[in-house]
Amino acid sequence: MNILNLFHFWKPVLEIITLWFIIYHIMLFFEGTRAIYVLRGIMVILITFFVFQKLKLDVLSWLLTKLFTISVIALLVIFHPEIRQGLARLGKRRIFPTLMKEEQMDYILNQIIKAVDSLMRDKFGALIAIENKDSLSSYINNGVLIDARVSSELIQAIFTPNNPLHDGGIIIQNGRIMAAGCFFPFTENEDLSRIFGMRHRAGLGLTEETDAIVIIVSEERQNVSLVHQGRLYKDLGHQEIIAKVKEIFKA
Amino acid sequence: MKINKINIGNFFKHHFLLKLISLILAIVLWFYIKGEIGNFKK
Repeated sequence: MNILNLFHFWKPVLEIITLWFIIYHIMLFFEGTRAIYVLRGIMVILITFFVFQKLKLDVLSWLLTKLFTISVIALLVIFHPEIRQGLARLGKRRIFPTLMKEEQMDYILNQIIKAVDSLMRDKFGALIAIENKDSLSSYINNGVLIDARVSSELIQAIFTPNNPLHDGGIIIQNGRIMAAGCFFPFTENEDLSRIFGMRHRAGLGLTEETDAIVIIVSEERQNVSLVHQGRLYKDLGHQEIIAKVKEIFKA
Repeated sequence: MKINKINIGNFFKHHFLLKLISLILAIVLWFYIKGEIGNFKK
């Protein structure tokens, strides 16, 4: 078998792997948003159309061809806010995400946990966003620039009431507290229980627009929640928070 | 940010179903496009 034959054999494999990579990342990108339903709907229609063609079901193929364009337009119209959000996220996505050593991540998480512990005891609320692959620079710009090493004492100081920066959230970017007093968009989820206040709504809203991880300390209920991709994980213990954050970053 | 421990063994641990569905879609799409290209050349 010469090199040319080898290439002809591997060409389809290479093409399928490339297609797999592209489709996977598109679906992963929209995972956790409602726009995934649009994608799934379009995929189901395409697979059904392919099957009908292969089985030579001409009548059904004809019907699906006529319905296809209308269905795609209908899905795009119904889910246009989610698609807009998804495309906005695409613009924020970093091509080369910053790599962080596990020891540095451990240090940051330990400092956050210490701060969260103290804030809960003192019945102070907190909103802490940790940047993932999507840039949070636009939210940093609407806050007050700090650019300081992550420390439990600084986090506690920021969220102490009557501190000028205690309103809004802090953003941790590249292992540093980049800004405080940042305002996050509120969630558009109308089904959210009324027991969740503005802090939780802001945390959820940010995770619906980006892949950031948000840790929320509730001053009323004195508990800690973690939010990621629009999902709220309530009443987490210290080890659960650390494990969840590491799981998200390793994914 | 990303923790820089890339473990090939973990490849199928995360988003396994999503990876499986995308693989099936990739194969289906490849055959469909190949068929369309074949029809076009005729």
